[in-house]
Amino acid sequence: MSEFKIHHHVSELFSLLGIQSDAAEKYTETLSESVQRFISTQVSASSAVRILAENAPNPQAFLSKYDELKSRNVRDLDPLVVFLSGLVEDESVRKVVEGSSKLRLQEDGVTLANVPSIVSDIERAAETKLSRDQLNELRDRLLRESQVMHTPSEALQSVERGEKRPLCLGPPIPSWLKNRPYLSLDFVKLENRQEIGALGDVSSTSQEHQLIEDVLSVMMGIEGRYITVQLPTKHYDSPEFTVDPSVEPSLSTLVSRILPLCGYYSQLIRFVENKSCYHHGLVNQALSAAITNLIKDYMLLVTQLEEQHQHWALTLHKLYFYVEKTMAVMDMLACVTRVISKSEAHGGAVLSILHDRTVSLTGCGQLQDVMVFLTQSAAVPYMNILAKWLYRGIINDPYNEFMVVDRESGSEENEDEDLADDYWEKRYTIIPQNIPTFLQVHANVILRTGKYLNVIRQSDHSVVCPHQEELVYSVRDRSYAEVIERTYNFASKRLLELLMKEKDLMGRLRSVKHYFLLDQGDFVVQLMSLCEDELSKNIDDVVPTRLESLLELALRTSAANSDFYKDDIECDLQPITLMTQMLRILSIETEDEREYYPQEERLQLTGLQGFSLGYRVTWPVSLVLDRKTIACYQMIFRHLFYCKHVEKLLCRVWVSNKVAKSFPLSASRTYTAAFALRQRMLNFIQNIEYYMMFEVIERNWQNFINKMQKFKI
Amino acid sequence: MPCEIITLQLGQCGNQIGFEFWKKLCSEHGISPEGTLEDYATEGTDRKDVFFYQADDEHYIPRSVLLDLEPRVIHSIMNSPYAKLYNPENIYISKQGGGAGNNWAAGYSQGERIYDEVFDIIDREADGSDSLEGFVLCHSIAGGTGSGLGSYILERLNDRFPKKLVQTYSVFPNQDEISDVVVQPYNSLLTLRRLTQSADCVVVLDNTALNRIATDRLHLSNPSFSQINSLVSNIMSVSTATLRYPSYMNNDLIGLIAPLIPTPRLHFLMTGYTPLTTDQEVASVRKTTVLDVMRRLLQPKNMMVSTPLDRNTQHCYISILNIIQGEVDPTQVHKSLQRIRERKMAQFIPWGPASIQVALSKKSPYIQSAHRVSGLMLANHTNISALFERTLKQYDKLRKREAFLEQFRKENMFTENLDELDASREVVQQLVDEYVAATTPDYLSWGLTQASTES
Repeated sequence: MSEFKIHHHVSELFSLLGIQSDAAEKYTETLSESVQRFISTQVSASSAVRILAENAPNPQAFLSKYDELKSRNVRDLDPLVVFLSGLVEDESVRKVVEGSSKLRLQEDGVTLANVPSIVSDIERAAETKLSRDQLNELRDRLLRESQVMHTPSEALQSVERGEKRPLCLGPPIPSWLKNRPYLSLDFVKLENRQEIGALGDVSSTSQEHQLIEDVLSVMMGIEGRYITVQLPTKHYDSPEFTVDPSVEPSLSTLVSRILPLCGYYSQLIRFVENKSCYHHGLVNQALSAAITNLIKDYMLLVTQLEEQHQHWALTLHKLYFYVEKTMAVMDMLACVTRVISKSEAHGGAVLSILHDRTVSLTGCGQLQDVMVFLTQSAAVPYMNILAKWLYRGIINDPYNEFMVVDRESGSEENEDEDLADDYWEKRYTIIPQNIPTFLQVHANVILRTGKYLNVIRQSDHSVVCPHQEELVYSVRDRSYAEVIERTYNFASKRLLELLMKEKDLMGRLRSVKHYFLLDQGDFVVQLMSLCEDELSKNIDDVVPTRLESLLELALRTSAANSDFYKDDIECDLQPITLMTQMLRILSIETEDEREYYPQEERLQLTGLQGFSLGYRVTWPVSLVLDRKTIACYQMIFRHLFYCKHVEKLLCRVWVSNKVAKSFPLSASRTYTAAFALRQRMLNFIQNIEYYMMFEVIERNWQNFINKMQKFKI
Repeated sequence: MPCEIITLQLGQCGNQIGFEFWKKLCSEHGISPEGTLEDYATEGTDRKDVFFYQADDEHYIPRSVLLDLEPRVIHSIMNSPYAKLYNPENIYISKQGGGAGNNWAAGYSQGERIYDEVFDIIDREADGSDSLEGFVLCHSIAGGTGSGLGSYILERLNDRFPKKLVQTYSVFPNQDEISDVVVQPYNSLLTLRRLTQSADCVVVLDNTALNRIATDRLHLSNPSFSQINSLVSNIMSVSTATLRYPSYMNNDLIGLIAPLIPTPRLHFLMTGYTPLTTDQEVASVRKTTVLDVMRRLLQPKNMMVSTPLDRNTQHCYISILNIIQGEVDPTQVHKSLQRIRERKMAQFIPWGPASIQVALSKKSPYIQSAHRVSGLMLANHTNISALFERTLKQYDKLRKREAFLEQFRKENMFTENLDELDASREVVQQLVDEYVAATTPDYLSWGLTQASTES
């Protein structure tokens, strides 16, 4: 994370918040410090929550909100909380935010001025977590910046897109699914219920028998005679059951112990029905299928119980004993599905929830086995997508479940031009909420693997990973991790080979060094003497074609002629001075810098001041030498070139001075002071050149080469 | 092809060191004695075109002009394996063939006679290069041809090519042994005047020091000419290394010379080289580091100029350029410079910014050296004035006795009077004075006050 980026974002944020303050420097400092802190320490969220609660006007409400969000498994909740607590603790920032939000509230005409604004902001941010609130944006920006190298706006867009898309996915749901409620047994209301008498009037044995029959039917999702059902308001909640009040209390207590099981069953059935729709995605469908399998076993149990019941061999006690184990499993399943439904999880997020649950059940024997089975089944489609991505670099993800998303499919023709600049950063991005937690640590590796494969493919090389294995989820032996690692190694090795061997990246870089870093000194000397007349003109009068041919000549006649890539060099005249260019990049506008802005500079700009080299790079080298990098090289070049020019001028003065040695002594001595001044200037310019070229450029180049050599193929 | 340099070899000594120089360049660039490129050198990224050009059949020809007034040395060159290297049109031997008889005046006046023919050759060479940067002249100042003809050519070069650089490698006579050339002090003085007024940069090669180095440092009991000359050719080749192996900086002659010479007259440079080895000596390979090399370069015993220590004047460096070759890490250079500054190993002029400048240069890939780092120092030191003072003293001794002036009077220049000798003496004396003045802080105003008192 570069300091300039933070700087830029801060100034942008300031303008967004409507703050006219020159203190951007200070905030940049605090921010860059805090960025460090965010990375280095995983601050515990609980203390942050406590701080926030202390500061909130209504701690209870805040805490409950926090718990609710927590239960919904919202991502980045903890970092947000930590960040907000940092905000609250930092006096200066708080004041600014307070002031600005008040201003904003007034502008919006909202009469909430009496609410302490910072806390309201926090609350608002918490409530509208997934909407695009302004503070949310702030949070998103800062947090993303600190964690991944995505540009913040991009991250936001991804959130937006991720939300909008699912609505229009997959084929339409057939209407009979809604018209025919009898397809699954889930307490479909009978229209006409017979009025029956109270059960309490009969003997307790008959009561028990009747109740068992009712319980068994309720277990299958059919309303009993004496156990009635109220369907819940929210589809993921359990229905409520009422037992005939006249039943003996001991029996009724027993029944009410069994009844939750029926609720779990109902929840599961509804979940399966609901999530089988196309737009819920493959993972949810796979999960539904797995649950259906489990329900089948459950049904078997019910049938067996019923058989016993028909032989009068069942009591409520026995029944409870038989279902107790099943109840635990069903409880757990219901709980998981509830979380999934409630958070409207999708794709990778579902797997996250399943995995977290599985891990938390370590040591619970059978329960964990069930969870492993579920997770494994649900992960199958996801793992298939992953395998395709890892082995071929293809995303086949119709329901946006996968963690990697392709931003730009379909326009592969112009990859040599604009695309290359953004390709590495933007083409494929990670959707954080779609990363299953068990793949979290591998997320970047996975992203890169596919990205590499795609680069190789787009360079006209078919590539398929040789050792393809099926990826299977498991809790303990992390076989998938090995596979990921192996494919990553394969892909990166291939890409490295492609770049280093076929495309000769190092050769390219060396040639860039020759020209842009003036390593090829004789070429520069030659170029300078050839182009001198042309470049001393006003920049508008310089003829680019003539310059181009002079450059060509300089290349051919210097030792650069042996460089294989010399033809990729071109002239590039830029209509601004280097100083202005750098100021624009930094976009710092304080009083100190303002005075450097020249007025109407274009009028006075000579060709020399605007002269720079360009470099044509082709895919896939353009991934490394993208436009931004070349621009950096250009800036270095312009500075060095100008220094060289000054040195040349001073040397020319020296040559014109040499005539003085044949002057008579009295005449030549008067010049001594002038000579000394010239020498001082020459000394300075040569020393600064030496410093820049040998102590900065050459040293870093050596470091770079050493690093590159370590990663030999 | 920018920055070409034409080499002129004058007289016996000049042709001998020139011969060694070209031998050295050929081996460094992988060029065979016949001028063809060796098989292993075809991929080179070095710049051969500064000193060579290619004939129609692609073989390399040195930009070199060989001049002598007597045929002996040039004939021996033409009988060597390198005979085919040179362009035969560039070899000029005076038709009289009698030589200059170790007489400056004879050499100078013969120069006038052969002017047209010599400058035909030089002009042709100059026109053959795209952007000629300058001339390098090899000669000795003691004999007749190198000093006399050399002086004449220096003056004419300055007239004809006022914007080109003229660098000379001038061999100063050995003071330790009695010379068979009795008029040596006259010759030296007269040549020194031309070197002061017409050359832009003089690399002083002091035979006294070269012999001393050969005996003391290389342990050669009786150093031969060719052994001494290989020392010289080594210096010449290293000092042009940055031109031939282009890197970030110092890629033209002017960029090398200009920082060394702040004021036009003070252009006499000393050299030093380390580590010194001979072909016979392989055993004494020592560990070379940048600091070690730079420190050795500052030691007087490694300097190729012998100057007596003068306690009265605070002699100091006007400028230093160290050309370091080999596997060098820029950080080491930085640290070494710092160390040298801390220990105050080098005294610099008080009137201007001065420091040790460093040029890092590549080595020829075709020559294996036992040492990792080697260095050449080009230094402008005020102490060199002692050398001129010595010449003046010897001249005064002879002149007082009016000795050996007859041979000079035979030539046109001296038939009427000996003003030329007096004028030369004044010029050299002024040069010595200026060097001494350069050790003081008020050097910059020295000229002005003196000028104002004179007027």
